[in-house]
Amino acid sequence: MFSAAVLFASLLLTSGMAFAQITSSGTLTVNASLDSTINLTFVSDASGVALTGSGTNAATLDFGAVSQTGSLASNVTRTPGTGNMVISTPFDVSVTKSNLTSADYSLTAQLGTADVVNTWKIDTFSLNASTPTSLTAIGAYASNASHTLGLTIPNSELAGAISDTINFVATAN
Amino acid sequence: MKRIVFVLLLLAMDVDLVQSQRPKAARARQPAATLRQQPVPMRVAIPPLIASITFLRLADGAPLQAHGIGQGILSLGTVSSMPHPSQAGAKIQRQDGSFVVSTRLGLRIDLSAPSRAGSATVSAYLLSLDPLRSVWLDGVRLTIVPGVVSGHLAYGSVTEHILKIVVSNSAPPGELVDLIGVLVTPN
Repeated sequence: MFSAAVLFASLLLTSGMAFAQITSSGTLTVNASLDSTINLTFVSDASGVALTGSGTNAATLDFGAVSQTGSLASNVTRTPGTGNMVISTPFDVSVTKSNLTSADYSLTAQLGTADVVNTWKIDTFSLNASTPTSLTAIGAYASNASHTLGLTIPNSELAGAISDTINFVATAN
Repeated sequence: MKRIVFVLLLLAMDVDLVQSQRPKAARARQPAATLRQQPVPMRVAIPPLIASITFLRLADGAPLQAHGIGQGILSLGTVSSMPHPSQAGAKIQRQDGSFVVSTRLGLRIDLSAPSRAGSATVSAYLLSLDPLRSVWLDGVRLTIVPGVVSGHLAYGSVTEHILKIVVSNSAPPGELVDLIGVLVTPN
């Protein structure tokens, strides 16, 4: 009788203390599709007009007030021409790539609105609103490429604001 | 001849009676008596505590399909170093030389004995490594060796976790697949 009691008590203690603890497992599968990107940003050039929005892909370059003889904003150059003047300043374009095997890029620019009075140039290339103008055929990624924006203003133009939008497109080669 | 046999039989019966009257300490020398009196807990069927894990989609997390207990598929969609419209529930953060895809997901740990309160330790690991990306769960970088993600996850409640994948900008485009193993051990 005593032995049976001991046996019963032992079972109770055992069942209360010795639950087996088993490690369970699961698996989470994570899927994604990785896409290539290139990213263009405008950067203020050390010798140029400070861009508003430098480091982004939507920047503004303000020449300030310009005239044939008046003073100019810092880093704005005026070149008198025959019946006109050209004002210019450098700015930088940086193109970076991600998850892309391309070695270099090409760059084009196009005026947002046609300008029949003034002439807009980047480097030596005149821009228009109908077709993109090639600026660079082999651009190096992740470097600040310096370009110069030039605006030719005829002397016959009346005083007033001049503005336009230039759309840049970088394409991976 | 017959007489001798009868005496031996009486002796044997007497020994048995005496043995049964002895204290327990003396009986330990008797193999048969010892086996009969020792409780043998191994013979009792004690159900083991088995924890199970369920992956759950959170309202602001990426789509997650649970395929039964312990299996889930998390779909981050198209990812790139630039935010993409199709990245429902996944966030992109650019950093130098790489970008981070992050999302939130839910886990629920259940126990085979629902009445038992308590917690479990959750560890996670990668089934394979890719040198061009790293996977983090709740701030713990996952490797092929299980690492503790949480030491005390309560049973039966949904807990929220953050999964981050850091993708190098030099990784080639294409499909990304990471298999994360999760181990749950009752505390």
